[in-house]
Amino acid sequence: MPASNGEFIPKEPSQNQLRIMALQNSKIEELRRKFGMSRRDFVRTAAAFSVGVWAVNEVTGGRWGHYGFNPTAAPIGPSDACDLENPGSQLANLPGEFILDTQGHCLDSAGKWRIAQPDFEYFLSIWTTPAWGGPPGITDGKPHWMGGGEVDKMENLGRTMFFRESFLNSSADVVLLTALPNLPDETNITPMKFATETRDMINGITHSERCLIHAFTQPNRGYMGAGQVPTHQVEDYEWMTKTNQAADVRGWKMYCGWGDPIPTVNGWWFDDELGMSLVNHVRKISQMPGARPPVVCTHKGLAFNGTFDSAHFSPRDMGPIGRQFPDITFYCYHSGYDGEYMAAYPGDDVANSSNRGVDAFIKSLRENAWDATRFVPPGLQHGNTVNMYAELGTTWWGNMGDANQATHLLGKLITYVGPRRIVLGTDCIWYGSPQPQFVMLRALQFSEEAKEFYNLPYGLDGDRWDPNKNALSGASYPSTGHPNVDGWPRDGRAHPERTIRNGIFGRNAAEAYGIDPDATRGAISCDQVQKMRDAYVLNPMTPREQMPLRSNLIAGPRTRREFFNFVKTDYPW
Amino acid sequence: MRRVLTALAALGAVVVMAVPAQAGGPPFQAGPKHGDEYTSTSADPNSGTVQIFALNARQPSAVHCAGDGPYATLQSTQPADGVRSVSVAYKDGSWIDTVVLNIDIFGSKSGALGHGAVTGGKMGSSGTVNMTLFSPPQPGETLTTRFGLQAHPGCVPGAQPVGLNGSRPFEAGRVTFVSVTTG
Repeated sequence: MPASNGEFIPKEPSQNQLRIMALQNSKIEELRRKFGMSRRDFVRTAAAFSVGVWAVNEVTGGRWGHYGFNPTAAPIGPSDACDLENPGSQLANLPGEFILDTQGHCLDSAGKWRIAQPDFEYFLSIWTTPAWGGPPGITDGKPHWMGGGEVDKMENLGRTMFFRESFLNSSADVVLLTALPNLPDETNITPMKFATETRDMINGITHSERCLIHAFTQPNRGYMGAGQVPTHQVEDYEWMTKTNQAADVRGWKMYCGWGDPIPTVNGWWFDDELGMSLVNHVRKISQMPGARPPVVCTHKGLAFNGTFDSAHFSPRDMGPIGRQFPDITFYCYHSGYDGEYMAAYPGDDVANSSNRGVDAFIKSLRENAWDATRFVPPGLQHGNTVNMYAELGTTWWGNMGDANQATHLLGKLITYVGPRRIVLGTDCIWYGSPQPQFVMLRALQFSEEAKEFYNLPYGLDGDRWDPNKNALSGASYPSTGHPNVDGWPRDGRAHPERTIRNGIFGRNAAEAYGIDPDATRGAISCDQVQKMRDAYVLNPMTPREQMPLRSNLIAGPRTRREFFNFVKTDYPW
Repeated sequence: MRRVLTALAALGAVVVMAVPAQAGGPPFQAGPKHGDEYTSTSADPNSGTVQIFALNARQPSAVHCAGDGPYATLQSTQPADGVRSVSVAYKDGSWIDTVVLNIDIFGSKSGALGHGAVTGGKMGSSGTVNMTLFSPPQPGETLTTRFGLQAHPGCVPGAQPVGLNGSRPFEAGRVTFVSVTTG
């Protein structure tokens, strides 16, 4: 059921949402009796995830896509039972799966930012309320707004919860802790000292590289007008130079819509003097001895109107900057998505690159001859952009509830950005545990019409070097190899690690960040976190697999009455 | 020495004559224009004047501000053979900081061949956008240069109680395109 973030009266649930809820309720009631479990216990099981996938599919699966765990089977029909045995709902990684969540978040609840940026605390509170709720309390003798269980609301978004939800309550192997505004760093919500401590704590426990970090930067602090160097730019660039290697920064995170002196005005573009100056500086510090290759990650899409300068979150400048700096890797965070209804790309005459939206991102690439269709190798039918990655944080979350929209989202990104240039971020901890997002991506199947429309005969199970080959079939890998792809396996075995799906899950990002997924998986399999998780999960790898502390909670107000109660009792502003 | 310079000058003239610059002014052709119900757009092929306007009364949510911002274009077509660059001149340009003057160049066979943009804000501005083509056009194709103004969809300013604006109350721009020159 849709929840409010506490700022508005929640929308009435749609007919589809009501049908999904009704189906889930009836199936859960049926199955929990069969399992001999209480409803409270049953909803914490892997089987409950299967029920959720089944119900979403029953209502939204259709012309373009459906949800089901077996790509060769027909969509699950109303007469079929849910596939409770399927490991797709469970925590253990599936064959070939390596999950690198490229967008994890947490914050320093004891940071200076809470005094220096009270607006940001307000913003985070309302946005994350659906996931974590307000502070716990007692109303009419009943506990309410338990959220993550912390007395300090912001601590529900802190390091401990990040570790619990991303590493213990999910199938993620590696998580990239990315950054939010602003500079100077000591007033950032995830300051570098906190970020490096978090990373080092996690990697110290695991004795493997399970957490990477970004750092935030901006070119416009102290903005004084066009043609003038902002007052703090030199200072901020010096800080970048010092921090880059000292903190082992894996990428620089930017928000073009973060204005100055107030966040809602004076944002910047990558193709204006501020953006060009910043990208040139990233290139410069990446050329210093011992430095890592340059990676620029930028928020594009999600307007956050009222908090940021939302016009500058249009992805219109991704094509120009990608083309101009082919030696730099760019990640377009959110892929430009801003809540639009997801359909097929409407064409270059219709798309407006100044909009926010996935189509605007594609148009920006296309008008600069920088989209994947320009880079199709000889003898193949699919290409990849040179240096531009489409990131799915919140974008997948916002589309996975509708199989048709989810199919169009991935279909057009595969076509225009490339099967090896899409990376899954979850934007968690803002949304609680990322596990539902993983389960849904495991289950999405393209319809026959979608396979034909997007020229993907095997849907997400196609080989991402040649999507016209089925990576799950040994017949795709004969001893003769592939005439147009170097390094093509010749062992006659299925190669699930080569699917488009598993590329999106983490292997694409691993390639970009120079991580060996299989070596990392090997190290993880016996690390301390894995042992903690193994000890924590009940009935692992069965339909009864259960996370006893999994909250599954969407704590925001769900009805008009709950909203007004929330405002009366919990609104601290 | 004078003979050498004369010869070089003559050679240069021959080279220039081989790919003569072609300038075209209004009337242009109408290009695509659209936007959602909060926008209005106009593009006059005869005068070369393009205008866009959006009243940002869309209902926001905390995260999203979805819609279709105003987009209005004119275009000019010419044979692509020998063309290596395109210049688009404009005058009387005034647009706010969120509006962009956008130029797409594409061939009938090659697809996108060039792109240019001028970001705002501008007030009474004139200028020329010079664009070198990404790659040579294919023989016999037609080159289209599409130029106009575009903006994002904005939402009601000050959507949240914190009281700061995200979108501007309105987005607006007006410019007159003078010529498209190929070289």
